[in-house]
Amino acid sequence: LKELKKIPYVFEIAAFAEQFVIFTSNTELKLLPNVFIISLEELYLAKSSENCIIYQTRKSGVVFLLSKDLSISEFKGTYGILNAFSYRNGFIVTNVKSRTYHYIERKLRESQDLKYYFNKSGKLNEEYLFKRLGDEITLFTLSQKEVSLTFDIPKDFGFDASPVEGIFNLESTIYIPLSNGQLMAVDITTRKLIWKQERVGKVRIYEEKIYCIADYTIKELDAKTGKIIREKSMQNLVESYNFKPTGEHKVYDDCIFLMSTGKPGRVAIYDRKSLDFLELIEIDEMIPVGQNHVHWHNNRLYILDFVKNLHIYERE
Amino acid sequence: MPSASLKAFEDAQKNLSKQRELLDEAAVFIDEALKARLLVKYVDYPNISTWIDETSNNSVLTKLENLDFDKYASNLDEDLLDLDFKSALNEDAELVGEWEILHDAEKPKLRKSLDALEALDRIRKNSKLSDLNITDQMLGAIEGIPNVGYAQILDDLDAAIKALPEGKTVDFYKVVSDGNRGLVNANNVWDRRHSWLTLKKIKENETFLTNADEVRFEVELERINGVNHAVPDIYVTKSDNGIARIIIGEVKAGDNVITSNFNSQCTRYFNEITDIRNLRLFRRDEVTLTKQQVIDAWKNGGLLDNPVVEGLFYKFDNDVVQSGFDPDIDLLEDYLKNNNDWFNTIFETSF
Repeated sequence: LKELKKIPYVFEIAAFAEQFVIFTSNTELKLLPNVFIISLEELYLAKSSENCIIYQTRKSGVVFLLSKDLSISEFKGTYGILNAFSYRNGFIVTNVKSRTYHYIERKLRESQDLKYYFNKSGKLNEEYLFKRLGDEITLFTLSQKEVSLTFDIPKDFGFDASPVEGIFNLESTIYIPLSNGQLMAVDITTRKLIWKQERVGKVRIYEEKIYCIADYTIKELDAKTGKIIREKSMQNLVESYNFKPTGEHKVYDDCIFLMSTGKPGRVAIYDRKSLDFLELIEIDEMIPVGQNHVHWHNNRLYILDFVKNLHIYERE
Repeated sequence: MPSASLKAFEDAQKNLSKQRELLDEAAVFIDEALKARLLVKYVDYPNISTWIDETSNNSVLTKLENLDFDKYASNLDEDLLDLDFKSALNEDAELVGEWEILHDAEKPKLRKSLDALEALDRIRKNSKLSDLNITDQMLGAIEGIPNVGYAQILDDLDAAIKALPEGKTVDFYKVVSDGNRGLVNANNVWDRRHSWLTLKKIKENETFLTNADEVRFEVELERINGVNHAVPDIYVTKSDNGIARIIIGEVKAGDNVITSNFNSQCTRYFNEITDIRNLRLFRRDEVTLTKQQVIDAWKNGGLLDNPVVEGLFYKFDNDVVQSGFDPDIDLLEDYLKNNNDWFNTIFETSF
């Protein structure tokens, strides 16, 4: 990859559909091909889905919704979007005053009060939300507007470990990382354990494969069976560059991007099909932890550093 | 055994012990030839000459033979007026090496202090020193702080070095000397106190640090876009069930924890960790800090409306407190006021 551009004063970046969106206070910024620029003086948070992006300039205020046709709708009121989640063609946000979920999408002039609320940790699919609290996981069925299942992981499955952050799903299977490094797969409908795999570490799912980083090794698991399809040691990367995968990783069709925390900011790029190491990108500033600061979109790598500089790289 | 053979065996044993006695005597025989040569060499230095004349320790003579005459003779002669100092050197000639280090560091009082010399001798025997790039020059340049003298600081440094994981420690020398900063900063007692407190915290967290993948040290302070950004003092990479994590230790050595860069430091660290439990802000025992002071500072700095900070405390509640805190509805300020776990974790506990 070669560095294409460095843009200062960028609050946030997001990708949806064919568009890449930059939130910036930089009024000098010129248009880039396939990049939509939203100029604002401040930004609290932005969230994206395949269909749209929502954002707030300040907490508990108006929500803006950017649609695929690049029109922006404004939903006046007092909303919280930290735990907002995509739903159908829009988003479900929290109305702070009524303490209920509200649905917003482009076609609506006002938000639609759904008359229910569930303090969730995440969304599994269009049917379930979940809450992780201590050893307990609670499933909330959106169509029924009620709690449908509660698991106590150690008690119900005879484990000596607690569920930790990073729960995700594929169809009706819920994948739960445990505090001892294991990953368990449970059928949501039958509540039965499908499989359990040891020492998977940090996990991301892509199509029907799970990509894990643990013990300085990158592993590819079959999401259906939990079996390791292949694995590759990252020891060379550790020894040659002192790269330690302390950040998160993101998986795309052709590449896996592994981040390290601290200074300098570093992204190690792996070929997803072969798990071969391809390249190490290094920037002066640190890359904040999380999923929002590195995006691979239309053969461009976007890295937003801690001091709001956006680094854009392009495949040569 | 026949009596003749027994007699021969006993005679042989006697012979052997006689030979051993002779060898032992030879060992304490002073090298008179060397002594004579040195008396000529140091004829213009009466105290050294007297010492040479009086000593029955060959090591002393060897040290004096190898001493850089032009550089050290005059000051050593002057220091030998101190009889305690002279006696200590006579008992352990190796201390001449430590005296040279403190001499080079231009510390005329300290170089005669037995506590200082012995502490320097102890730490120089620490086999990890060279791996950590800590030089004799750095050790000599270290300065004390109020209530903690040079010798005590060296002992604390020695203990900290022993607590660090071998082959996995990076840039620890910066705590001792990073240019003019660190324990050697003669012009800034706060800087030295900061480094000394770092040593204490290393020792207190020995078990934790021993099992780290890497322990990295930084003391620099930089300005980015006009804002002070501190690099974490102790930056630990540790694998927990296969997952490599960052754990940050920030050392606040001043009289106040809420300093002008407190919020910029916290903001930065909150963007580096994935769990509130991976951050520690250490302070001196006598410095008081209340939960409300931290909340007020964070509120003034806009941290309580920062989605990254809200997300971290939401996760902390899910994992630890389990009170059902919801950042979209509840105010983070209220949550922090109603709970002590986060404060105790960050500000009141070891790693």
